Amino acid sequence: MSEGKEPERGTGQLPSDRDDDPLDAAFAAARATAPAVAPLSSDLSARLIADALEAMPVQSVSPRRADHVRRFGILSWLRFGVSWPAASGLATCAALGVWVGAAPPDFVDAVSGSLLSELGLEDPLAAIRVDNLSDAFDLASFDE
Amino acid sequence: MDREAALLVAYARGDRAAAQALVERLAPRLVAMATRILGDATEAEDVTQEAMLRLWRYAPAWRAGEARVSTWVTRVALNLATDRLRRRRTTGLDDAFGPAGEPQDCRRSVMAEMHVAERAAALRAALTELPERQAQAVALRHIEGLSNPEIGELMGIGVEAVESLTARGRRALKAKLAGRRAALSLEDGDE
Repeated sequence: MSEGKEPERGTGQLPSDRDDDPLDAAFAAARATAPAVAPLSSDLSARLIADALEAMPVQSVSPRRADHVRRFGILSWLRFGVSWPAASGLATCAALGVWVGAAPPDFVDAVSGSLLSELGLEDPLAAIRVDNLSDAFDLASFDE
Repeated sequence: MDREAALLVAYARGDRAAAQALVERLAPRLVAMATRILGDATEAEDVTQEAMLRLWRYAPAWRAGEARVSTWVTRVALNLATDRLRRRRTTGLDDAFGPAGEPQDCRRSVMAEMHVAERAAALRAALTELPERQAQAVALRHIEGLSNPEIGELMGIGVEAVESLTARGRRALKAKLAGRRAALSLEDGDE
């Protein structure tokens, strides 16, 4: 609907209106029932907002909080979304993954070696072998 | 994307300020339209609340470009208002002449206001007897004052179809109101 037609609404001034036409007089009477744009009562406004919040598909966020969430990224998970037990579990798994990758226990090598040999493949990391983290920082030795 | 569509997307993402802005932009016009069609402010507010509730629920599925938000929600409110109007059919013409149809124009004399209210109520009662699409087209053209292209957009039909609906609707209304001249108080009420 265009905004340009607005002045005609509710004024009884449509081009087709003729005072001597009973039907047009009735139309004009109906138009006079309410102005073109009726102000909202505070009660209706409150009801509409309450409905909107209740039907909101995701949890409501204020613009300031939304900005905070965007700005602080993963930290905001901890504050607003992810519980501390879940976060600590995630951190433990990450640390375990790093440790297994850096210093794999013997059974990992055994399992991966047997899998590779069954598939007829060579160990792609055969040239780089992690010795032992306990030997200070000399993490790898290269087979020449 | 029009401004209201952008607000609706923001609402679906949890922005309550967008909900407030949509209420302020859309609801006053819906209330006014429903009031003119129904002649009852309380019913008009109920229609507006229901139409807006359907908009909130539809928000997550809203796709940019499929329709304008204002058009969509006006169409919903129009359907709800005409449904309510048609449910009054059992009320009858004479019962429709209640205080609900009283106009808000305080400049008229009390008697003139009564005549205007009677005319509006008689018209609404006659509208309930028209086929729904005819009643909607006539109400949008002659009560809401929309142009034929605007009505076509709202009802999802072409301009020629709008012209046909409004012409047939006017003829039918004239015939229905012809026998109600006394109720309309045309002889006494014209100023």
